[in-house]
Amino acid sequence: MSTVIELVEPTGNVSSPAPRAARMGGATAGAGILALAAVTTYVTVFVTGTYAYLYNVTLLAAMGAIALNLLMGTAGQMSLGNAAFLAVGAYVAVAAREAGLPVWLGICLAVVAAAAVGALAAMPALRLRGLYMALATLSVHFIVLYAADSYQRSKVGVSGFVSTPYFTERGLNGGQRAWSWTLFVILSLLVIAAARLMRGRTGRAWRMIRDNEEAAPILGIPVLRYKLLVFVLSSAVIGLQGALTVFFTGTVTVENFTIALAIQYLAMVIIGGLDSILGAVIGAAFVSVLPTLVPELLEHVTGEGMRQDGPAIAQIVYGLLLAYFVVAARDGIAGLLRRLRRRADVGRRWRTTEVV
Amino acid sequence: MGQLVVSIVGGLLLGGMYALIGLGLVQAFRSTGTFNFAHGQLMLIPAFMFAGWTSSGAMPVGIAIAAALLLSAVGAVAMFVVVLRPTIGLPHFVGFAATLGVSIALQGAMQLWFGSAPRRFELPLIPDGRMEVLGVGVSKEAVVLALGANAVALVVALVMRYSDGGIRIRAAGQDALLASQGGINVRRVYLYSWALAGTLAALAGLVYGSTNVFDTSSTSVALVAAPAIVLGGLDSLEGAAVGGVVIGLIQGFTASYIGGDAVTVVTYALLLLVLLVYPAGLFGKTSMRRV
Repeated sequence: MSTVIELVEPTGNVSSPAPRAARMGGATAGAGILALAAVTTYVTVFVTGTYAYLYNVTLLAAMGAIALNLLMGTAGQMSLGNAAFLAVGAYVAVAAREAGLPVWLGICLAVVAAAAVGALAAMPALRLRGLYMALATLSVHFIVLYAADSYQRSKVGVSGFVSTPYFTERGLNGGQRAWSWTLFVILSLLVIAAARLMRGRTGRAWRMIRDNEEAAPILGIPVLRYKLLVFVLSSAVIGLQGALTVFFTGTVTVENFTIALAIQYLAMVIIGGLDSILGAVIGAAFVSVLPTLVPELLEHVTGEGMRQDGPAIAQIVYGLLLAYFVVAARDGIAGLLRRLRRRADVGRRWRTTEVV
Repeated sequence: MGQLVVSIVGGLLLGGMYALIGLGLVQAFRSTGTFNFAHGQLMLIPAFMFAGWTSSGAMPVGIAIAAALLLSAVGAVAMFVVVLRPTIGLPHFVGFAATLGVSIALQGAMQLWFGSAPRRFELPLIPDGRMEVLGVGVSKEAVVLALGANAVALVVALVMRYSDGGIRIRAAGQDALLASQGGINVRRVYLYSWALAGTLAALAGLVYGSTNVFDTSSTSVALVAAPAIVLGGLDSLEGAAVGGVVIGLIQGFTASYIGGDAVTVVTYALLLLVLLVYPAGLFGKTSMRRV
């Protein structure tokens, strides 16, 4: 018997978007990876400069978005700790680099560290729900950042850690290309793993916890274990993203890991669509591209050089979209696509029956 | 002794501010069941506007203050009607995520409109200079504003508790169905609650803006109201006021005796502790289910 403290919630817990999301089978994951491969090929061959960089940024963001989607969309655990886990991964990787450890070892350590912090962060989750849970993750955010800030201050000071990004020896474009393919491989593995988890027993258990946590134990689901699992897995992946980012950009500084960053990932997951890998990727692409896309559009429309306002305007856009989607369309863009496809199918079926 | 006095004055100043924000937040919380993440923007935007209006001397200060309060009240009501009212009845996380979205959008708008330049302003009628409290020199402004903010918070709490209007607002917040059957226009009460929340936030913003240099990143100050109201109890008005003052004092003492950098982490570590040990807070009631 356990005591659970929560606010009196209306029916249901977190969102329950279309359960059809669960049916993303191996076939769809494979199709997704092929599409990703095609896009990566196109980008590495034809695209250079800022846009190649942006593509890699998107691939990195997609990793975190998929992880957050598992946590929030599938398992229904609200978390503002995204920036904190990114910071854990990044700073452990940096510390490893400072200690002279090889890159791969640094990344592994970062992943383990992030998973450990995730396990710790899961502790409050075992007793808290909803808003209280979110506030607990907020605390975790500030506590982790304090640690990171102290570390940074003791080593380098306010400017942060600076070094050359990995793959730079291949030149500007060669470096970006190398990163694109590396990230593609990692992301594909992630997509396969996530799809299998979401499709199988683990996913069903998570959804049960999301939709009706009290009833889950009745069905034999060990809630504690599954909650712990989703936190550890998602924070490990986010930590991996943080570590990779260190080697991708070369620089790390505490100022980048803000609550606004955590909210950015929340926006990705909600705008893209909860409980959907495709949604996570779409959301990640959308939010990552927006700060660059918006000034371009504005320039075409108004002819003014509003480039430096790009991030601020992008923030307004995805902030409003976040509010809109979470209230009106929780299955996000992916859900919209799904509904459009179903309507097309229905149309086809009607047409066939009319031929008598 | 000197450090003690400075801690208390600074702490009460912060505490008064948090109490004001917290009172508004709790009232808003009762009407929608969500914590309004966008309160920081509601607090700072009037401060920025006030700074703009009074720096050029274009507007008499009294009108500027009234306009700032009105701006936030209207903004809060708009936020409620457009974004949050549709979320009543949906799981609480939806409203919370919606306020996250609004706060981020407002933050972007603030960045566009106000830029990164830091501001500060002086409120009129507040004496300048230093004074002696128990033999220690402190800024007169800080003392006056600390007392003022706490006094306002106290008055609001008392009005809520004992006045007719206050009782209606609290009733509507506790049980909307019963309240409406008792003849209270719940829909209108919710609007008033949010207008009040906005006004109090603006007031806190004015207090903050005249005692601190602020810029667009200062919105995170209002976030500290979260530990304050959790400590006090999310659905308790007295708790919000008390929690605000307590957190303010804790911050004041931490800043003095440990150092300014530790303030944030101590505050949020306290929040985590409260959440783990006694989430209902000092004065709140919360549903507890034994499963």
